[in-house]
Amino acid sequence: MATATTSPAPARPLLGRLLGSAALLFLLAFPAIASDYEVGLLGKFLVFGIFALSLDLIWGFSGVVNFGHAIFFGAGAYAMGILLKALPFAGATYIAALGGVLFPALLALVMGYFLFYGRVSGVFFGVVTLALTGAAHSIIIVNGNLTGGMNGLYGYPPPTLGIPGLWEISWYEANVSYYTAVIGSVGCLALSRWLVKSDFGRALGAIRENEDRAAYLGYDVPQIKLIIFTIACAMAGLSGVLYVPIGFISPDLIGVTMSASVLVWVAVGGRGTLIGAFIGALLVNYLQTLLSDAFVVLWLLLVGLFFILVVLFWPGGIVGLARHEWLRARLRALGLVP
Amino acid sequence: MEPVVIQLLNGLSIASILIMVSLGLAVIFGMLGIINLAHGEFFMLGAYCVATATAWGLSPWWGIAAAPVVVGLVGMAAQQTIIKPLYRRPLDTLLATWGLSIVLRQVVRLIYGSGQMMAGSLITGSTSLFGFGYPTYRLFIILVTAAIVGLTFLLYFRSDFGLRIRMVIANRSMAGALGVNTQSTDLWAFTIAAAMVGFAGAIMSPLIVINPDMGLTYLSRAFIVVIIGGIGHLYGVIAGGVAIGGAEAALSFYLRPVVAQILVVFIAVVLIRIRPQGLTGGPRG
Repeated sequence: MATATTSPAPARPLLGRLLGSAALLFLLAFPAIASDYEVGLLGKFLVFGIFALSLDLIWGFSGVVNFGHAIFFGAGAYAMGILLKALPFAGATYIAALGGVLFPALLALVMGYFLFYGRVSGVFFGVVTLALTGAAHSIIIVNGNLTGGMNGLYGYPPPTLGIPGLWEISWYEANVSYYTAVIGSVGCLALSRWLVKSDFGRALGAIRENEDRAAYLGYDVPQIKLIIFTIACAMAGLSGVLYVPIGFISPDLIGVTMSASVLVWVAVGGRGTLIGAFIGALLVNYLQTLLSDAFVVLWLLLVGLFFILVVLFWPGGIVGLARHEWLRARLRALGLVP
Repeated sequence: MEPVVIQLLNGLSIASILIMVSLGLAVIFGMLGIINLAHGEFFMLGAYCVATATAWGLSPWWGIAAAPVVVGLVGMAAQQTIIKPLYRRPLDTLLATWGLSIVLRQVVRLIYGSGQMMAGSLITGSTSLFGFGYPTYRLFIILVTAAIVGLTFLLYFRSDFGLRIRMVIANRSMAGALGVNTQSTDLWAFTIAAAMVGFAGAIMSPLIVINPDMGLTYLSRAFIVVIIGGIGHLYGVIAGGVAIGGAEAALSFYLRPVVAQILVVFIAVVLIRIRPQGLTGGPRG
């Protein structure tokens, strides 16, 4: 594994705090300075950032590469849409959103039980999840009555937030969906940071570095993997829920392309860094909106090539590289390296 | 009686396809531990060779002859540039070859467009077998698979090159110490595997839909065949191919083919839980 420098920089320096606060301020003030279209776009990128973050939790911190992560993003979105359709009363949005988190978590629990307790790890896990993505995509298309098949799911009542019956506000509104995405991003990032710094996070790191040794030390490896996998997939489900007011529920959400995209975002941003997931998702998606309309095919080709280059030469991604350079600069200042 | 015979032949022909697609993968992935997620795209490239020959007005046989060479060269280039530098980072090999599969799909899309391509039919008509008519081409595929399997076993167990591969699998550093050029063994094993799956794609091309995304389904099925069959034995592929192909054919008899394929994936996952070592046993790599 080349994800060497995964432990967060020991002293989170003043610079980091300043950058974090500045980014948060920018996010909060963004709707005041941008058009609705741009706000919608950034909201969508943030949702993708949460999705990428959830992959980074399992990939960067426990070494489990999930090639079917889109299953859980899509499951969240579909569960939300189907529940909205089935529950036509005020306040149903909350139940639907909860369902959109719990259903993927349950799915992950079942899937993880079979795979982790079957000792499917490393590359095998990647391959099996890839096969399951294909199966999940087919399930969506085959069950046209429930999911709308190839056409995607639509015709559900608009999700509303606020206090049911008293003060309701449409989730479709650009600012509302944007701020839910911001709150979700900050919340998920805080939760993830706490999780990886906890004792549980240390056990995860031990498993990532050497599974056998962690097992010899008495850790229940499949159980720990199952727990983090379920948490991560619930988070992916949450990003799917947050995506519903912004995007369109279509089978593409569960497809292989979506699973591949999220891998690219995390790899580019830097795996095992948490914030890198957001940086990668924002950067890649921003570039995509700049370029892709004219050259969809060429864009994907470039993404593929770039992905290969990142994996070959730049395994820490942007954040990994930045940390590396920062450390070098510090060491140089101390006169420890030429 | 007729449905039984036809179903058996269907199962056998699906199994042959799966075995042909998985055979190379079993050696490079199951034994040498080299991961190639672009395996499905190599299959796709093989099918496009035949489609290109057809589009140029040549006999499809030219496409079938060209496919192993073209795909073998692509595989050789991929092994040299992408896989070799990542030898000690298996998870990164997984990712880099995944990137390669995206690139190959898009290159094909740029050249040929996203639409379907047609491959000219090679052998038409049906042959009477046990008194029942069955498409001759499917029987041809079963025979070709049998021949390829025979050749592979011969290469693996009876040739010097097969001996070197087996040495590298048994103990890479010891093989190196005894003078086996492990890197060139890897390269040739990978090239042969690529050529084989390209040939499989070419042979299959008249029967299937040819488009840039076709490789994905074959990729996951091939990996499942190898994992289910059991890693570390060449005959695991045959067990896995027969099991998965038989299950697909049997389920397709009652259900839609799509549903059958979904069910097979789930059965495979459950099977992995029950028998992690695969059908033929052996240690897990």
